[in-house]
Amino acid sequence: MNDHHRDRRAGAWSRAGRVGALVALGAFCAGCASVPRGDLERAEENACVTGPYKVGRVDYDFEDEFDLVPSGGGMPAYPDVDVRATVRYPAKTAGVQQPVVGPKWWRRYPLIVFLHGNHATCPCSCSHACAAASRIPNHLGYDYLLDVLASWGFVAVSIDGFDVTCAGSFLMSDYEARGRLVLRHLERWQDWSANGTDPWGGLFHQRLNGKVGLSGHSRGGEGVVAAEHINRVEGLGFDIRAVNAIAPTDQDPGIHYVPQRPYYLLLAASDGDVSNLQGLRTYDRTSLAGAAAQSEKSMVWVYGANHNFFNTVWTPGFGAACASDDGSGLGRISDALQRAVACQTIVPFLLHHLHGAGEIEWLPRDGRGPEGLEGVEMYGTYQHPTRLDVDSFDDGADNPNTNPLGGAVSTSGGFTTFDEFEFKSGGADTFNASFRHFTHGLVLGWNSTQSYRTELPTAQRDVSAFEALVLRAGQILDGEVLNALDTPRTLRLTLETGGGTLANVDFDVVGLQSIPYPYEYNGGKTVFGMVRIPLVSFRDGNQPLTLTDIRAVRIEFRGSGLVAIDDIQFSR
Amino acid sequence: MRRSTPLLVLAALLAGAAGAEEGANPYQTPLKPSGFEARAVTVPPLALPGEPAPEAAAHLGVEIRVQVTDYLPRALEPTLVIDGEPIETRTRIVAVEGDVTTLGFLVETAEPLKEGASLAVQMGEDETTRASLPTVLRLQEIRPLDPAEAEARGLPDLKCWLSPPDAPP
Repeated sequence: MNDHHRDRRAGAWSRAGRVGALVALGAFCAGCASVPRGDLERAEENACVTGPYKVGRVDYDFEDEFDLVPSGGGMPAYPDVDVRATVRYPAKTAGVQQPVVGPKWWRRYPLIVFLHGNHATCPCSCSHACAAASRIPNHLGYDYLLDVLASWGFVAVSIDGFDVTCAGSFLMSDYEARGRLVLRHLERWQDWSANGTDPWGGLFHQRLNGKVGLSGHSRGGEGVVAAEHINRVEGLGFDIRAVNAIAPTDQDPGIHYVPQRPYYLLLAASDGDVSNLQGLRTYDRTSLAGAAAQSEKSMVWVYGANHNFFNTVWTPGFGAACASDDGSGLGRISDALQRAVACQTIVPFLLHHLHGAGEIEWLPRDGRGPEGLEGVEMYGTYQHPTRLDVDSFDDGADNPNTNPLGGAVSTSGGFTTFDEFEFKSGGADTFNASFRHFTHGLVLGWNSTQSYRTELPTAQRDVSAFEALVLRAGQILDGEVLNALDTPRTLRLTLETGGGTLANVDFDVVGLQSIPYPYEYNGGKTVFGMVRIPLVSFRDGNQPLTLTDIRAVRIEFRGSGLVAIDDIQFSR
Repeated sequence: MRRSTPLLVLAALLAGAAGAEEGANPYQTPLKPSGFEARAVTVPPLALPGEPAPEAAAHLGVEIRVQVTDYLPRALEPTLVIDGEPIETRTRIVAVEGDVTTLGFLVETAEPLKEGASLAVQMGEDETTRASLPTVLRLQEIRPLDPAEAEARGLPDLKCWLSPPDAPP
């Protein structure tokens, strides 16, 4: 709190009382939401309606501000990089450079930074020599998200990555460069908020609460994950609370970035640009079982969505040059609906993690999205950092007869396929051609009722601290031999207690729509969905099942099918 | 659950054929390479964030510069294909002149650089975008490093680097 603020209130309080009260107020405010609780309840129903605040706008443009130099020093990898962005923020009145709404001592806002991906920089080429007015404004394609976010109490910024787009360097990867550009903008904002040095006369002086969320699209998705990584490993100190990647790449030649903050991956099934869906690997690598650092991760997999329609500048019909539809196949969704998917998931994700809106969820349920997304086929996957990993199939043993806890695994003996396999693009393992993941898992094929049982060692049998039994599962295309379309594949999940009590939950793979059938228009690859059964659903007669002595998890497979399974967990 | 039938798949194929007549999806169109040049370059070790500056010295490599007409910049990195095998390289945009974009591919080992090797480019792993270069690789046409630079950095002679130790003279 600076002198300016103390002075404004000097007439009301004695100095000692004043300072003490302000310190207390500051401590209180640091934990309070910047959006009234009543308004957030509206967001639980539909986060893409306009929030309680009017939206102000500013833009900034510092040409040739800095050189991006490799960590070891030497020649700039990317010289004379511009620091340019468009900004939306909660304002007293809608319009350009309007005052930020609310008194500084009461309302401070989280900062959200977006970064676009690789695209033409000048019409329609990788040239950087066209006049400024002719440049492709790649960063303006997320205004539809910035406007909504600002109305919900975020300062939302979209960076123009002009100098790291259509570029590349042998000295520093494209992705590190994008990450460092994001961090450069964060430095600017930190200074503006702390010292009132912004180009608009202190408009944002003490208006940020220090919490940061990042969102990137395409190479920008890999770039924001790189920013989180660099911030952490270099100790830069930005309080990054959440990271979102939209149809991201995963192709840095030197490092595979792994986020250690809540991570939301939005993946388009009909992506004709990142057509190998390499961003899927980022989900699999994050918060592996046994990793020292655990954070939340989530994913939404949207059928019929392409790569470009998340950015209006890359979408035909919005007036920008070089826009095109990269998607193909049937079942496509409109560009408007695709933006609605982004809005209905990204905004709630950021509200949840940066406004503390714990009731707000961003994942679809049972293959269906929230309000306004009726008819969109989308699947959500989520992993909580607090969990018991019963079997992640990642212990390297490829042994289906024990789980990593040391418990025995057994079956009824009649599966046509029962083994652990690698699930990744490329490689020689049997089912690699069916996947674009980067994990190991179990494949089960059956043409008559069969069961699988995995046992928990004695020391691991108290699961009462958890809320759900979770696993990832996906169907595998097999020429409709075992996985005939639209044929019920009923599963029964059973918890077996030490005393022999069996509690079952049945579900139909088709009816529940949580185990996706492969999207055949993009190679027919299997992508995991999530089965999440609340533990309260397991009953012992009319009573909840006692969860302090769970001896085994059983899965019974009925009808016929060929299914891949991964990450069996008890989870919060 | 994705509900498709053979009829839907057939409809998709027909839709794809119709699309081809109206103008193919630019993301599924082969690149248009017109030529290339190759030159020896000093390869700096790649410094990674949060890790100590690499101790490894710079080494010799060859940059293959491929001219591509009407290059569509996209998320996927371009890939250099030598004798039918995609090669892992660092890439960059070297220059843009008119509708010709020069892509740089840094080949860091001599193993794939064979006399008469065929070259092609594609986007990522997507072979539908693959297109061959009109000429093959001639080792004697690779421009060597400036001798003074090579000496200053202690880098080997290009011919020695290109020839494995047990190769016949």
